[in-house]
Parts: sequence; C-alpha cells; structure tokens
Amino acid sequence: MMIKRIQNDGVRLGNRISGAISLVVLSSLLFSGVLSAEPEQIRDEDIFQQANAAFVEGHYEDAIRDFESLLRRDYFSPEVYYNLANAQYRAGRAGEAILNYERALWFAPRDADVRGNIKFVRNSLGLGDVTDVWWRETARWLTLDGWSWMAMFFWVSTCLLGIARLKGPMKGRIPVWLAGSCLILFVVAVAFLFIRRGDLDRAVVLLPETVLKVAPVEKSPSLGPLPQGTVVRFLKEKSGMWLVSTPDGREGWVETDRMERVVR
Amino acid sequence: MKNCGRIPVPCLMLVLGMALAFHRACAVEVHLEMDPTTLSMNDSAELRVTVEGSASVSTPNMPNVPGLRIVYSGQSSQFQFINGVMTAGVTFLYNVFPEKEGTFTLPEITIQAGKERVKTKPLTVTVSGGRQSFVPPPMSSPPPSSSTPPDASEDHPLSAAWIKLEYPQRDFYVGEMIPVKLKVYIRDGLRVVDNSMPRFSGTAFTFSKLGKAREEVEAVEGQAYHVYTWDSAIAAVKTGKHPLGAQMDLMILVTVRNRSRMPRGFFNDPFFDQFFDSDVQQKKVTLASPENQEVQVSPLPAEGKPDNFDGAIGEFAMSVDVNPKEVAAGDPVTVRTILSGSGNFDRVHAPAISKSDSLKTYPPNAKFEEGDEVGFTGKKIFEQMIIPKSADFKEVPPIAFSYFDPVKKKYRSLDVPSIPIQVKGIMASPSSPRPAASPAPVTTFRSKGNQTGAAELVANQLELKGRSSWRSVLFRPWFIILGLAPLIALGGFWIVSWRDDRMSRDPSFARSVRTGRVVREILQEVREAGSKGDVSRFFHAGRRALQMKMGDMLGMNEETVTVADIERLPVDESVRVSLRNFFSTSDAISYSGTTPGGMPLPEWEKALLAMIQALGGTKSGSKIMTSNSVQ
Repeated sequence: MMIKRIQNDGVRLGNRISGAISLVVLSSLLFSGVLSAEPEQIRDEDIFQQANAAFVEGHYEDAIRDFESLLRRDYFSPEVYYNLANAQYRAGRAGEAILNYERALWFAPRDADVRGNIKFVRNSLGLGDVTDVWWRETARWLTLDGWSWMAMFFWVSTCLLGIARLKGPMKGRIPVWLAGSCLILFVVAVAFLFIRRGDLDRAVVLLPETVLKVAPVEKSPSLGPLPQGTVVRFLKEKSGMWLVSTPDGREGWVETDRMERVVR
Repeated sequence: MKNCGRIPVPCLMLVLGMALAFHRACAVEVHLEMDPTTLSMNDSAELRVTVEGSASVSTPNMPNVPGLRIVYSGQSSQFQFINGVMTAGVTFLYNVFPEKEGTFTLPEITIQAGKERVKTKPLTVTVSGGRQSFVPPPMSSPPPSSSTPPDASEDHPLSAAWIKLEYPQRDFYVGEMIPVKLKVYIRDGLRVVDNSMPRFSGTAFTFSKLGKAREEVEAVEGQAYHVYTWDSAIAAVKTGKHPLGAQMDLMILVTVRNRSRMPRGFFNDPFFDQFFDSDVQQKKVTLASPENQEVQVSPLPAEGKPDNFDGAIGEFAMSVDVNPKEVAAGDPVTVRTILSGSGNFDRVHAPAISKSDSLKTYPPNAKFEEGDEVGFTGKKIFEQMIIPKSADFKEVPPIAFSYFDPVKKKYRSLDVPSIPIQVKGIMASPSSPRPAASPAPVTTFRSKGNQTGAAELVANQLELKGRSSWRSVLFRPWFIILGLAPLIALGGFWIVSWRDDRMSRDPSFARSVRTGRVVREILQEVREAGSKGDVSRFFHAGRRALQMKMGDMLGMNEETVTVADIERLPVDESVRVSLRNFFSTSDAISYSGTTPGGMPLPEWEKALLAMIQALGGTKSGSKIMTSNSVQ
C-alpha cells in the first residue's frame, strides 16, 4: 500500500516536472521566435550600413529613407541623426539637416563632428555663428541625463555624508565641509539641469521664406523673415501657429508646419 | 388686290426672306490660300481654292509655275444655312512641291462659277534651302500634270528603292554585340510622302535602338540615290544558323494614267472623277532585305575560359586609379576602374575588391559613357569605395578582368597589379580636418561658401554605438524615488539623533519617552488579558499603565503614585472620576478576587484608553485599545 502511494506520488511528481519542462521549452521557443511565423528581423546595424552605402554612392534620398527607417524602429542615436543630417544637407534639405544636427547634439552635446558640420551648414546658409549666454552654453556641456545624474550624485553624496556625520564614524568638521560642498555642487547641477531643460523648447525653421508674424492669423502683418535653419525657442501654440522667440530677441508667430521641435 | 389681300402676312415675309437669301447666295467670292506660304525644299504645302456663293464650279486650271509642282488632291463642297442665309461653296485642294529655291508668284486664277467668272488674287510662295529629312526631294522631272509617267510606276515600285543590312562577314558568338548598318536607297526623283522607321527581322537576335539617320547621295550604276543610314547593334541569343534581315514601309506618290477604264469626265465632276481617273496616287510599299541572308552563331568556346570570365565579349582595355593614396585608417578610398573599348558593355561587370579583416568595402557603382549612338563603343567606369580599417592595409589588391575576343576567337585577361597606399595609424579625431583628398566627392565634401570653421562636411559615422532615449531619466519615477530615498534616510537618522541628544540632556523628556515605551508594552499586555478574559491581569496591567502616566505627569515615580494623587492631576473631573472608579475596581479585584459586575471588559478597555489619552496618550496604545475594543 505504502509502495503504491510512493509510486503514485512519483508519477505525479514526474508529470509535474515534465509539464514544467514543456512549459519552459515552449516559452523559450516562443521567445526565440522559432514558432513565430515572422521572417528573420533585419538588424539595425545592417540598415545603418545600407544607408551609409547609399550615401557613399550619392543616393542621398535612399540614405535618408534608410536612416529614417531606423528612427521609426525607435533607434535613436547621435550617429543616426548625424548621418541623416549629412544626407539631408547633401540632398539640399538644409533646414532638416540643422534640425537633425541639433538632435544629434541633444544626445552628444560635445561631439566635435556634429558641432563642425552644423557650423558648416549654418555658414552655408549664411546664418553665421550664434553664441548663447554663457550659462546656456555651459548647460549644453552635458545632456539632460548628464546633469540629472550629476545632481543625483552630489545629492546622494550629501545625504550619505550627513548620515555618516550623524550616526557613522565620521566626526568633526570634515564631513560637514564635504557635505556642504556636495550640497553646493548639487544646487549648481540642479540649476544647470533646469537651464538645460529649457532646451526642450528649441525648434528649427525647416523651410525657406518663413515669415514671423505679429498675430496667429494668416493675414497678420509680418515682423520680418525667419531664415531657414534658424533655431528659435517655442513659447506657446495657438490656432495652428507657434509663438516663438528668435535669437535676435523678436517674438512672433509662425505656422507649425514650417518648423519642428528639436526634442521629440 | 382682293386676292393679294388674302395672302397671309407671314407667307409674304417668308418669300421675301428667301429672295434676300438667294440674292446673298448669288454673290460669288473666291479665295486662294496656302499653308504655309514659306517652305523649304523637301517640304510640301497645301493649296486651297475656295469658291463661295456657287455650287456649280468648274475645276480651276492651275497655272504652270516654274519651280513649283502643283498636284491636285481633291475637292469638297459645303452648304450652310445660317440665320436664314444659305451659302454654297466648293474647295479645291492641291499639294505644292517645291522644285527649287526662290520666291514664286501664283498668278490670278480664273474660275467659272455658274454664269460668273471670278478671279483669285496672286499669291507669293517662298522656298528656302532644303533641310535634312528622310523624305527625299521631289524629282526634277516635269510635274505630274504633264503626261510623262515616272519610272516608278505602280507596276514596279521597288525598282527605285531597296533596303540593305550591313554587318561583319564572319561567324558570331552567343551574347556578342554586333554593330550593324541599315541602309535605305531611294532613287532621286521618287516621291516619298511618308515612311515608317526601319525594323529588323530575325528571331535569334536582340536589337538595339536605331541611331539617327544620316543622308547622303550615292551613285549606283550611274543613277543618283539618296541613301539613308542608321547605325544599330544586334546580339545573338541562340546558336545555329539564323536569318537576319530588315524591313521598312514607304508611302510613295505614283503617277497613273488609266484612261482605258473610263472616259475622263464621266461624272463631269472632278471630285468623283479622281477615284477613277486620277493622275497621282499614294501607294504603300514595303522594302525588305534579301530573305536568304543568314548568319552563323556559335557558342563561346569552353577551352581557355578564365575563372573570372563574366560574359564580356569584344575588345577592351582597363585602367585603375586609386585616390587618395595616403589616408588615415577609417577614411574612404575610391578605386576607379575604367573599362573602355567595344563590345557588350551590358555584360561588363565590375572587377570588385572583396572585403577583408583590414578592409571594409562598399558595392561599386557603375556609369557607362557611350562612344556611339548604340552603345557598342564607349567606356564603363566603376567606382568602389573601400575603407582601410588599420595601418596593416598596405596595398589595394590586384584587379583582373577577362573577356572573349570574337575576332581573335580566344579569351583574354587584363590584369592590374596591386597598388600600394599608405594608411596612417588610428583614425584621426573626427574634428580634425580630413586629408585634402577630394577627387572622391561622394565621401568628402568641399565647402562653397564656408567662411569659418570646417572647410568641409565631416564624413558619416560608420558604427552604431547604441540606442539613446528621448525620455530623460529626470522624468522617470524610479529616478525620483532614488533621489528621495537618501533624503528619507537622512531625515530618519536626524530624528533619531535629535531624540537621543535631547534624552541625554533632558531627564523629564527621557522619562516621558521611556514611559511611553513601557506604557505601550503594558497596553499590549492589557489587550492580551482582555482577549483571554483574564480580569485580574487586565486590571493589574491597566492600573500600572495609569500609574506610569500619572507619575510622568506629576513628576513622580510610578510606584509611589496612589489614588490620592488623582486629585493633583490637571485633568477634568470626569477623568478623575473614571480614574477613581478604575483604581477602586482594581483594588477590589486584587484584594477580594471578585469579578466586577456591570461593565464588561471591552467597556473597561474603552474607558482605560480614554484615561490614557487624557493623561497624555500614546498613539500605539490608542491603536491597541481600539483594535481590542472592536473585538
């Protein structure tokens, strides 16, 4: 009787194990795509290389299409935006080129290639160099994530030093000084973080013959032309138009389809 | 008068209107028009003689104008009734062929229209120099209005024109591109009014487009011929002996005199008479090359076929150029290969360079520059981009190309030895200027209007370095929590530290803290005793808790607190009453061991909680008592 029960228990246990193994194998197959009817996925790297090859051959529109397909696959990277901008410039789409150089700079703000090319394209459009105020230029030394992590580092350091001073082995003024310094650096980092956050509102004029208008209506008087490739600051939207602030201090309205924000 | 008076007025008006219309219709006018009046040799123009106002018009007698040949081509009649006015008219149509350059005047033409004789106005025609056209100039013989028939009669239309296909007289090979000349001979004087493009015939060949026709005059057996030549090329697709020919349709004017069938003027109307007794007719003829033309197509010999032979047949030369020859690792180099000569360039493929560990390559692109109209001669230019990955790459590998020479009937190979290049170390900093290697315009770009900074666009990035995200960590909840965690920890540590510090400095605070902790423990015991119905333990623990709170409030040791001290407490009288009641009950239970009547334990618990709260309270004690009282 006892032996039979042990045998039954063994069979039940065996069934459970085999069931579990089947489940694991089935899950693995599903996740590995063996059972999936979809064809083999094209690698992002292959699309990137294909786009580069089209660029080298002078087929800039094909290159643009391939780089944009990478973006549609949510492959956002400074390399993709940079190469896309190069192709767009070669295809005669300078406004879009500047937009995507700016996007590349958003991810890689100190990349010398991007900075060099955006300067080159701006010069070719006759826009010249635009230098922002020092604190904004300094804030562009790091990405938004860079400033966030820097602020987090100094904040955590401040807290840890404080805890160490309260309950830990560190006594005396040194931890206080260190914590105070970290706190100051934290405040500085947060300040630059918020300045850098202001770049979320940057937009680029894509089309030539764009006009800055006094009011958000089609027949509004003009405040003057807004050259293609100009980087402006978005303030608000109304009636299908954006209120923007230009680098030379003007504020006016522009049709939304003539420009695009840098940060998606 | 009476009868006239019976005629209705509308009838009178209708009669008057018709009379007026008839009167207007009787005004005969004649117009002589020609479109265009200025034409060149080999052109023709349409001449129209329009007679309005009469339907009975005899065919005009065309004057003989030296230098112009005027050929009658038909007539049409019109009847119109507009606004009550009837108009009749006849238009006579002629074709005018210039025979020499100059300015000519068509004199007045007298036309018999009914009973009237009307005259046209003179018309000036200008003929300029002839342009090159396939349609040959009209013959210089007398015009067809004369009775002399041309040699190109309807019985032997081909004797004056033929088509000829010229190609190399040798055997051909499958896939070979063969240049051919297609010639059409048309005897001087044969009047061709329209023609089709010549076409090839033969099922074993593919045919290239025809080039532009060239015209020249050639003497054949003492007779002048206009020779029109087209260049083209064919390619054999099947082995064996196959016919090869060409055809072309011509629409020519032939002069026919056919008086035997019907006397002239049977219908007494030129319009109908032209169908039966016309002087000039258009006739379509098809020229064809001799049907016995056949060519032998052979397969390519298998013997001696190089491994890299890819179907190129003809005669070729190859040159290779590498630019730049000094680069940094990672910079592109353009390998430009030019294959020139004659043959089937569509089968000429790039002698590409393969990638290796030290070399990255891109597929070559090709461009063909035709040397003739049909693409038989020319040069094919291949540009391949290669990128040395490291300084280990020292030379561009040898490039070889093989083809079959159909004249020599053997395979040939063209070899270019390896080309050394200098690759410098690691790829230069992206921001550093690229080498001035600009013959490769697809990889480096020259600035046109650059005033400052970079002289050119920096080349593309070659590798992906990973994904980025537009959503910053700043907006992610876990990042916020990560920032709050040390703050909470610091706050907790600070509170603990502050309490410890105060306890060390303030004995009453320390005692209060300790009392609170002990009271919480005692109240826990009270809860347990209440749940078990242990009345003695319940009241003992409750009394102790009250004593501790009272001692804390009065600054006394809890063990010395008595019922008398209740009066000193700064609390309401109701609290005092409750305290006295609880203490007396507790004493009764302790000393007599009796169970209190009246109020059950849960009610006592509520009362105890209220007293504790009144004496300063304890949060956890409140919770304990509340949960207990609910039970």
